[in-house]
Amino acid sequence: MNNILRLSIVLTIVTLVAAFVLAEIYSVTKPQIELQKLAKTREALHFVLPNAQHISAVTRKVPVRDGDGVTLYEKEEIMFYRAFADPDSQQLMGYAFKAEGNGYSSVIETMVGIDTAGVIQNIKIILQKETPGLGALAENSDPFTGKKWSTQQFVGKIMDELKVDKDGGDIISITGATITSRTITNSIRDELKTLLPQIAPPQDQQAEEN
Amino acid sequence: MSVMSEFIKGIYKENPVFRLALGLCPVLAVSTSISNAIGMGAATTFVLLSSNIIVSLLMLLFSKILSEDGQKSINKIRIPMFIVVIASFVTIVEMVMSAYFPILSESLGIFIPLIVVNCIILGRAEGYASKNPLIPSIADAIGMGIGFTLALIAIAFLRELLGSGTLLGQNIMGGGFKPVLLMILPPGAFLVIGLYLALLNWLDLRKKES
Repeated sequence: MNNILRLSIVLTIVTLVAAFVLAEIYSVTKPQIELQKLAKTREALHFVLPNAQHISAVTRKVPVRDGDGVTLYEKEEIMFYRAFADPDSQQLMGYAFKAEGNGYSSVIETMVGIDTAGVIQNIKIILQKETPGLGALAENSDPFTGKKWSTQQFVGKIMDELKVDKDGGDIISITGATITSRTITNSIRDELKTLLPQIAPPQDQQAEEN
Repeated sequence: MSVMSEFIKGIYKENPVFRLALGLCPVLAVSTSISNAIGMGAATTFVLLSSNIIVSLLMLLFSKILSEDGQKSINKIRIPMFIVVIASFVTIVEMVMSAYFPILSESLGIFIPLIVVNCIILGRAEGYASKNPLIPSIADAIGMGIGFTLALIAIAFLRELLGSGTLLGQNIMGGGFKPVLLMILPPGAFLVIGLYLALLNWLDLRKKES
């Protein structure tokens, strides 16, 4: 009995000290980690919408429910971003959104910028863990020459043009990584399909008012 | 002199990767580029050093405050204690890395948390630090850490050079070089490790014969 008590006390002390140290370091690094994430998103936004000076997020409230379906609280979720020429103007320049899809070995997240007509301004892969040397080449954004994959080839495309060459479209896929290329292309197309109707209404209203 | 020899042995005579064949899983996974190898080596060395120090001090503390019987019973829970110590340091590394070195933490990904189960670290805590005083334990950890890092760099050197045609991200093979994809895929790691092991064994045999 004495023995069990001794072992428990020693182990408890060791884990308590470890938990205390971890909690301290967590509280120091947490804000910095959030900052890094924000900086990354902002960088991606400026890459896909280079002319926009002011970008604001459009959020929606998503109810978080417990097991019985009772709403616990509402979580804010970013749907897309609106881009303006400068902070004061109401002149919309375009939108940005995140597209997500399952690639060959990982989830691929892409930031996409479009203008008000729905034409792609630029795209940037923000998260992928595909095969090095094959699918991982998807991030490549060398100038597009028409024979090799480049994220530049998405510039100027509209929703219906988003299809890889194997599916009869003109997005050149990565040799040996068709699945990765297809995931990126299709995830952007699907996201556009769901987002465009949601983005459009305010424009219609404006047209009616005018 | 003995502290020095504890330090030196990890680099060549008892190199954790090439001699003890410990921790091969992260070696296979992150030796695709030299920068990954250096990052992983540094992270592992830090965890190894910290856990060796704490384990050595813990054992010293127990030998001071506990009777012989108590020490014997404490021995039963030494592995859980080592794991708590190691896991805490790995979590610290992970948090600090994602806060201050986001690019590195992204490319190393899952392999940072997996340092917890890297057998080099538990192996040194159990096999060395728990039986030796503080100073030799520090020397042992630094030597083993450097040995692990050097082995990773040696493997990554060949894999990055042949697999991507670059060294530390700098293109050095010229435009006409076609990368050998196999080298940055897992089979390339097995091939390179095998070749290095063969080379070292051959050198050893030759020394013995002469």
